[in-house]
Amino acid sequence: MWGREPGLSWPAPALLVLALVAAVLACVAFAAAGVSVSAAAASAPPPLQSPPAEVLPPQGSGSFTPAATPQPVPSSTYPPGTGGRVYGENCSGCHGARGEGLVGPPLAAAAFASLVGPMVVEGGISMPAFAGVLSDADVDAVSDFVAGELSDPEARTAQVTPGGDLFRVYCSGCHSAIGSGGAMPSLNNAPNIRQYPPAEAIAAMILGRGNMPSFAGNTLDVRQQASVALYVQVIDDPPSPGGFGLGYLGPVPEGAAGAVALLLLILISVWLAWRSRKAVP
Amino acid sequence: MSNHDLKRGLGKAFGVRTSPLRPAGRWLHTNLGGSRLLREELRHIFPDSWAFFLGEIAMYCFVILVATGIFLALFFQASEAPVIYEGSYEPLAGAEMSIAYDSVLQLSLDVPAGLLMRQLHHWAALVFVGALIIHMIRMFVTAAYRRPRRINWLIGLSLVLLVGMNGLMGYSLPDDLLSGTGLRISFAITESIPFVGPALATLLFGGEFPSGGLIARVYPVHIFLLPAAIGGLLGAHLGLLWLQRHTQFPGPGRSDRVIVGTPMVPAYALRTTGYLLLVAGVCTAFAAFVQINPVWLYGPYRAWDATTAAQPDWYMGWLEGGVRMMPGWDIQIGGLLIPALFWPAVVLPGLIFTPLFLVPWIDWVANRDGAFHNVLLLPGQHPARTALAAGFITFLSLLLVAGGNDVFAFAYGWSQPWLLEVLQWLTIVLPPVVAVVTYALLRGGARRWASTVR
Amino acid sequence: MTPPRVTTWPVGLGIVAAIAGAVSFAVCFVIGASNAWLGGSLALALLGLGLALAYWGRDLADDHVIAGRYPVPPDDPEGGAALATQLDEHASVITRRSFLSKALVLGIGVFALSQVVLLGALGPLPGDSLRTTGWRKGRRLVDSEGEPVTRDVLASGGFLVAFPEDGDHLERADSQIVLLHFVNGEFTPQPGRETWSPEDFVAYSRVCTHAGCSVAQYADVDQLLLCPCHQSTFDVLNGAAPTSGPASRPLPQLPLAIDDEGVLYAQSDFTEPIGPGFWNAV
Repeated sequence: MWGREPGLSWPAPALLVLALVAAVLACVAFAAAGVSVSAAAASAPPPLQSPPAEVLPPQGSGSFTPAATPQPVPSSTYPPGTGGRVYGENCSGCHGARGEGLVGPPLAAAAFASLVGPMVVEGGISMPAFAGVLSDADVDAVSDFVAGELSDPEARTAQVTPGGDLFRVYCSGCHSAIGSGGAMPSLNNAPNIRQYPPAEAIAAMILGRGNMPSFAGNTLDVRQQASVALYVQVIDDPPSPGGFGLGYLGPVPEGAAGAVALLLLILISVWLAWRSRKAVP
Repeated sequence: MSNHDLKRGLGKAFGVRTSPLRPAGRWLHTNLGGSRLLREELRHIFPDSWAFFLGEIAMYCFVILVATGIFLALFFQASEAPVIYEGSYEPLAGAEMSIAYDSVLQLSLDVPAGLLMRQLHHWAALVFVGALIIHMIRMFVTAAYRRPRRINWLIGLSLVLLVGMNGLMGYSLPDDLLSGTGLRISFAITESIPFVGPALATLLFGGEFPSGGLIARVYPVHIFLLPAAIGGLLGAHLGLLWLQRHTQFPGPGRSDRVIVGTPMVPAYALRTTGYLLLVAGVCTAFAAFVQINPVWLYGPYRAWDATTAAQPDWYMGWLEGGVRMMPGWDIQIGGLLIPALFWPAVVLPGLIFTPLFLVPWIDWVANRDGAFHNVLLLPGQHPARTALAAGFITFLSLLLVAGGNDVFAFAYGWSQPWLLEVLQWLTIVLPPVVAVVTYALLRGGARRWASTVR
Repeated sequence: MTPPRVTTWPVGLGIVAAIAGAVSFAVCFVIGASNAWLGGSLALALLGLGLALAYWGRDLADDHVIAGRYPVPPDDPEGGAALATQLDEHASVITRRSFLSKALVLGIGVFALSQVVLLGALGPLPGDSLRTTGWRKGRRLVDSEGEPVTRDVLASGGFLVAFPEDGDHLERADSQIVLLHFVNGEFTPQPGRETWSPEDFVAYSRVCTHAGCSVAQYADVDQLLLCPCHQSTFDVLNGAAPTSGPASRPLPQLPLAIDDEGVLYAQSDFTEPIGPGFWNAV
């Protein structure tokens, strides 16, 4: 079919199809990276553990150092079924009786039930998931309790817009403006923060993780931490009225997708210029 | 009675109108004169090949860009003066931003069809430059730049430069974090030029960065100055193409004197009009379903914000790659400094484009062939030229990948410094290897290529 | 020669798609449908119409090729000489007066060159602006929300992005610093800078010395400041000297002091230009 018509002959359209397939595969890889955990260990977050003696502790972690073991659960003064009771029986062993932090970080910045709920249900990097353990009603109750009574009142004045401002000063340099994560030259990559519940951001800010510094009480106060978490909640499911996000990794996947469009058009032109009979004047 | 008279008679008898083009034809002859010329041009011959549609992709993308650009220009406000956001996007409610960014947010999120027009504009721009580059590659490997088309080669190359610059300015207008970062880097590149750099930078950018007047300056260049230049050059490009006729691939009945192809009317005109709509359709499909440059997620540009995965649009990626791969080899002569940034960002583009402009004359020196050519060469027929192109494309592709090396490293789970070093070595080693291998392959098969044509 | 029968349904399909898409587009616009619906309708209409016309031109139109003449090179080579002679004759009005015509060229050239000065209207000359920032002796540090930075803010270590107090947009841009506080004695001042880091509070310029992006990445374990744009890396414990990536000059350090109220302030401006290098930077 191709050989009848003078032109660049068959290898060229074959190369086109190959290039199209390569471009599509590249787009798929970017989308996968921007949506979920990257397969390689290089992107896996380091587990929370006591650092070896010769490694310096993260800067700023002196404001909160996690204990090694949980405390026995104290008897709760709250009536059964209330958020306080649920907290006492499930959370206080790690987070402390008044949310002051023990094995797990302090809850001063956990000022919104919408932040606490998903964290309880899905768990975080070092926090177990309570999905099968607590009923929905219990989850709601404990979320309201933590946000309403254990959190710092100043943190409850947090807002999304200043959170976005702070995110772009302190967080987007490593995690990208849309939270997709980014390559870091040493140790682990800054991960895609969408794979964790938004409240995990507060834990990471307080504790620091590997090369991620701690922001606790030094760089960002509890209100600012809560604001950042509120913004992380927004980009957890980035508003995308324009369509498929291509992994939210910026112009690189956009360029790959543009190549797909161009290659499609070239294939259309191959169809369009094909002639059904030999061209003889 | 001829077939034609029979049809007319029948038409009149049954009240069917004859073609409305008949009175048009008479009007053209009476009012403009020279119907003989027009009649000839109706049979203007276009040789057939899919490779000849590449320029059309570019041209029709330009049409889309102008059409959508007009829509966008009615809403965009090119001012960096601060304003508090009061639109519908909650996460930025109450945030301070420039009027320019605010107008783009409004256009994207509050104006009906605004986002569609913006995305169509941006997708068409990406496809535009891609089509231009593949078009240029096709010109080169088929030696279409030979006499009498040397001037058209220069015009085309100038178009590539102007379009690239216009694209850079276009995506810098929304004043979001990504594009503002790019402008900051452009300032650094300008000031890195020896002697005139700092002065040129503050002159062109309106002062030290951020001067507060840059968007207002870029805007008229992007919507008027460069499009007018591009339109004018495109007119000259098409005019020369029309006068000289399009080149053709070798084939039966074809020669440097005899052109064989489809007459413009009706088949070619139908096909190319259909293609215009198909180009617009594919770009619109992308604009409908694939998000591009979500400025509301990046936030307004402030010089103390930063984001990783910060790349320019793909067609500037080769420049970005050079900038990332170049080690920090400053040259200091007494109290004067040539920053390392100067070499990949200013000298390298010069080294790339200067030989491209000189291609017709380099070709003459190499082949001593000053004859007029209207028949193209197949890439396989001239191994040296194709091998050079292959090596050159490999070099630019490696630069392009290096420009996004942190994103590739993150997406595929590689170490970024390792990937960068691999790319640095590949950029030096791979292009000559590809050129030599291409040459060897084609040399061996050149005779077979030539025989399939006849 | 009559062409064989061709199928026409693709044209019909294209037109149906075009009409459906166009109507859908109008309806979607009026009801305020999403971008996907609006754009999808428009794409369907364009692709449908495009298919119809392209298919018509490719398969339904007369499928024959014709031959013609390339007009270039022209058939009469001597026509070029005739045209050249004609042009030469017209031009002789000017060219035969050799002195005056040379003077005319000079005049036009000088006029054209003189217009270059208009470039100077575009913007200011750099002057000192690229070598100075907003920092002055006594100017206090504030954080991104304008609160003064006291020693208590980073009492247990950490880092903060700081700016000069009451700085305008431009001052904040080039004066931005990253303030670090070391609490474990790991920091040793560079020679000659022993008084610049009171109580191990250290401030470096946050404008990358490569191409000017904010050096926004901070690796805690490795004690590195990194730039997200081109991955330049600066060693915090070694005067922010570049260790990898394309940067060549260290991040300038801001001399700090602490006042009686515990607020940090600058002792002076940076002692070298911040940001990317340029011709007369040194």
